[in-house]
Amino acid sequence: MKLTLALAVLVLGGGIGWGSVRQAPQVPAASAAPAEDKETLGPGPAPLDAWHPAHATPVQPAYGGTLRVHTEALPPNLCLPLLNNTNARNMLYELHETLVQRDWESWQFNPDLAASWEVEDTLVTKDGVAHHGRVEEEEGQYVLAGTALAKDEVLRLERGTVFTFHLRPDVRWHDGHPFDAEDVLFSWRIAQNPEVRCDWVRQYYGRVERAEVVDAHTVRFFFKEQYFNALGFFVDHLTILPRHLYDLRDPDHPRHRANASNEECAKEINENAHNTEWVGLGPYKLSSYSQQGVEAERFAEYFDPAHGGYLDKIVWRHIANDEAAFQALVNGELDFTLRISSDRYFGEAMATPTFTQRFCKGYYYLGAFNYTPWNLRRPLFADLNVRKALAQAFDAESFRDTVAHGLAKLPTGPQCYFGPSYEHGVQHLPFDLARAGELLAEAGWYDRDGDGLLDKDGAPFEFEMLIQSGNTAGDISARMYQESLAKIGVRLKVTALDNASYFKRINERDFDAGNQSWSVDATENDPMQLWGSASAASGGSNHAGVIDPKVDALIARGARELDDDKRHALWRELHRYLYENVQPYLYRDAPPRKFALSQALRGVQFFKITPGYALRRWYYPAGTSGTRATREPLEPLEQKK
Amino acid sequence: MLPYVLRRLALFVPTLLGITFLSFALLQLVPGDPAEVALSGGSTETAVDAEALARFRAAYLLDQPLWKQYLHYLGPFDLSAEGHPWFGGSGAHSFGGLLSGDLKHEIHRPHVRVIDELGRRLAVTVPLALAALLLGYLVAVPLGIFAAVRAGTAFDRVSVVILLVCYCLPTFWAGLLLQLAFGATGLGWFPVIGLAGEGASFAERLTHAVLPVVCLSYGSFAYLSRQMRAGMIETLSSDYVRTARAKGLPERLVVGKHALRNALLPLTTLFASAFPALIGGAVIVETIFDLPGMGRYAYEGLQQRDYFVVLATTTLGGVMTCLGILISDLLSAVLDPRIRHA
Repeated sequence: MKLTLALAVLVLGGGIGWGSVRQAPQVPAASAAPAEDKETLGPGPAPLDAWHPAHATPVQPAYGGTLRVHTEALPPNLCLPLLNNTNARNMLYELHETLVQRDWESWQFNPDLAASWEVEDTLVTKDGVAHHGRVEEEEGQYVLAGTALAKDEVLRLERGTVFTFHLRPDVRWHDGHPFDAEDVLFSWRIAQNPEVRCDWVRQYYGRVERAEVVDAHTVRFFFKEQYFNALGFFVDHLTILPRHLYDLRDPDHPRHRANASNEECAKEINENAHNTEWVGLGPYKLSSYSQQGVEAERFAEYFDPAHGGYLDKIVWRHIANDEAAFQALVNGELDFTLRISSDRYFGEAMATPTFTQRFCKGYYYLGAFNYTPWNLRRPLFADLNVRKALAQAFDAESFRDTVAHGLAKLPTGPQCYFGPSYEHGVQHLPFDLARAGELLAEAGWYDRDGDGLLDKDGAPFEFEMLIQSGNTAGDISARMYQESLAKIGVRLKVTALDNASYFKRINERDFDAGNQSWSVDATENDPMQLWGSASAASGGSNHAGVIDPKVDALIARGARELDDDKRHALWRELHRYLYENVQPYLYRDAPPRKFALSQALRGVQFFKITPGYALRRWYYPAGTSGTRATREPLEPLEQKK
Repeated sequence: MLPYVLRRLALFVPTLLGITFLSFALLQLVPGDPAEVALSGGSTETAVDAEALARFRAAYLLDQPLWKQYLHYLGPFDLSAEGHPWFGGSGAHSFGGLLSGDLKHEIHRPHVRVIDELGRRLAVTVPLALAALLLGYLVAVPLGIFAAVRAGTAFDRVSVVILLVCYCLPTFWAGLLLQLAFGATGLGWFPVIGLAGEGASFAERLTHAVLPVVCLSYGSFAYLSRQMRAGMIETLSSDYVRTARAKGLPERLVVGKHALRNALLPLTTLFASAFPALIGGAVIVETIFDLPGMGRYAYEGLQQRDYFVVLATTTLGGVMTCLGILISDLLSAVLDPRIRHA
């Protein structure tokens, strides 16, 4: 029977496959009502095994077993300061630790490598001297460490700018070397060496004016000015490196040289073999890095065994092709993949008994959204009415209901749809071609020469949209948009480019419109990178080129505002202003991440904080072959060697 | 024979130089900037600082004239700031480049030497390519012989149709069908991706290799068997075969002993050119079956605009093709003395 089936696949499947290969992307018909939306706004508890068919039946966790996770791209290295890479970051959630961590569900900061920390202020007097400590404000004066200072003697007060971390004394690197404050200080200092290729983090590291080691397990950071997300810097950006393996000047370095030059020190970091052969501090220790993927095993000397994971081994299996990955999953060679397209999710392959008896599928939302930036530097997009008309010419709801099968939000702003800074009062401009035509006419665009295209000053209304080749949803949305625009006399040329060519044209501002994604964290995000006028220059992330004093002022106020509610209100005001008065983007959708997961795994939760899951919490139920009831310490490092 | 070999080898040098020059020139025409890709991590979400770009370009000589970049790649003198003093360098690293056996380091993983990675990738691709060629010959030679002996019969016509269908099947599509048919969704006979891990048994390695090898080889069935058929038909009509038949030799001996040896000559020379093509052209099969081979290395290098990877893989492909043609010519010369005296 199976042989017949296989032959039938080979013979009959041909026609289907051949057709699908040759046809241009088709817009699917509207699907049935989407699955129940399990998402809520804001922080909160994440349900356990929500997508598992037997989620109502509790199981006892067991220790042991191997989890095989799909990764579609192998990060060139795991050293995050050298490369902003999502897949590397996902792996480091298990292979490494940070000074503090953000709780997956409450979104509050918790101790991690730092057992505790204190936050103090900086008070700069008019003679230019900076004083640090807790500053109390009393009538007409500031009180710092018992000393009163009249307010007119003070130049400025920067709240929450001094962070003193008390490190856990029992932490060891994966090679057994003790972790201490010098590691932390070194990790921040690498950005001061211009030869180190960590340019992407310099803007973040640069917020810290100086740092110092107080003692072996205490380190202090001084920020230049008060910043709402100063503590977030230690979670999201400061990657702690093992100084004894990266710093040539460290006496414990195998090739220690006290007088090594800056260039030599930088080369040691840039070309360090441990950039791939990672030595970290997390509950899982890298055991191999190859083109086949990354493998890690549980670290016996992890400092917090109670949270050190259930699984003995995690394998991030590198499979570049999503179709091959799905076949590997069904074939039992993978346990978890997030590379599931909408068509696949709602397709037959995930409804067959072969799949449903062994796997479950589901989705969860993070903050990523897809959008088209208009290049505001181009005269064509200078008029707000034109941009609003272009927004009203895209049928986002139809796109969501057909291509995304109903599984997507339609955002109107850059903060996470589920976070506290998102302005839900701003509604997506409705698809209305008639209104779009009116707006264009108001802007002086109408068909003067009767050729079917709008024109103005002798030039037709036409522009080019760049898309990244291989992005099927982007391609379909561009084609849908092309058809809509043609109905109102606008010609859209869609150009597919490979990633490198796309980035080059976007970064050099050589584009009319793009088609890309942006990831934001659920908590809140500094809008500076996307909207600050300082980011509008070539290479910055303000691709649209928004240069607006009100936007800059709101960003500056928000960045200094330490009161959560007030700051969220500022971000919401920015959201509304950008959508109603600037319209720099055509927002397409914010789709969820869709996954397929082995039913053998339990303890699975999905969160709104990137990457949305914590592998160290996953386990196989008691009784699963190859597992055990107790943690059983693994062999210590020395014995293993 | 020796002058002929030397003449061929002498031609090899300018050909190779031409390959490196063309590869380098074509790479420059491809849009995209290795510095931007490296610094952005391939994401529009990462801001790229202009000063960092300038530093990066300077470090890799990307801000230098193209002729200097090319000579730096070609070697044997290193033309960077640390390069040979003759060219204004500090002398810390005087020699480098292709002619000194240095294929540089990867741009995205600066601690990885391209030559080392090439070795690892070839260790995946070469056995697969050899196995695919072997399978191709094992299937095509008997098919070609039968088709020639039974030329014009139903067997001949049907086999032509089937082989042409095989020849026309796109590899990516056939690969997916093989996965569906022989993976867990079908018969469940074979793993559908990757290689067997370290410590795997021979049987495990074999099962992992079956589908990629079939996928790599089915396309060659048609042209190899047609070559075999054509060669055999030509040989069977030659005078010495007629003589053999006239002597009363059984047809089995006429075909298997007398005709086959001569008919195989074109296939022998084809082997030398088909092997390099398989090495460089396996990118689709390596992607579908997730094999970290040479073709995928070249493709990844191109995607990331890692100039050194692309140049190394194209140069290696060129060298192998040249060697293949050289071996093919030498074989022809050995087998047919008229060629070497021409």
